[in-house]
Amino acid sequence: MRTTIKEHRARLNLTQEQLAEKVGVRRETIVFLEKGKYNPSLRLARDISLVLGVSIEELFLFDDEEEKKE
Amino acid sequence: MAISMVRARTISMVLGGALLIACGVLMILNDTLEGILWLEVLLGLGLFGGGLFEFLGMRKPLKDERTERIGTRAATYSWYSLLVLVSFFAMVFGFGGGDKMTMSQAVGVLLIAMVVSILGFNWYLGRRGDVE
Repeated sequence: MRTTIKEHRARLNLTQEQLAEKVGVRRETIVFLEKGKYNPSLRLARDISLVLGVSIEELFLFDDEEEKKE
Repeated sequence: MAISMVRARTISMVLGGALLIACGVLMILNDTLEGILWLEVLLGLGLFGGGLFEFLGMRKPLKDERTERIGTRAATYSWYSLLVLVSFFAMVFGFGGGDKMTMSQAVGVLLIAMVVSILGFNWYLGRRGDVE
């Protein structure tokens, strides 16, 4: 899994700490999310998408979806 | 406020864990459960248990779904490891190994294993990032 959280966070000038505070998780969770090493719950994915103002599909890209597109 | 409370509870957990391990070592070396050792075990348990749930992300103020997921899995792995260890001790005593190890030494080993295993599994899974 790959995420575009880092790009969208940078667009809004949000630090990892600020995003973590807004969605109610620890900063480490955002770090692992951005690295694509953590699969979030649907609720957390929705909360992040609401804060960043993009859809969940734009935030989380799965390898099998990318392969299908190719 | 929240951060200082979490820090205090983490310190409490570390102190409690160290106390429990020290009690375990004393039980192994001195081969005893007597004296005030039980009081120290209770104190260690109180300190360790008091901070553990915050440390594992299971309780507010810093409840966190990733930490909680990892903590829950770490507790499961720890429980399973201890089940294997207790079964091993049961076999040792069952096959007449009581002269090699006494009951108080076995309790000491279990006390150390309980603290070390949950912290160890939590650390390992935390480094991986997720339980998947």
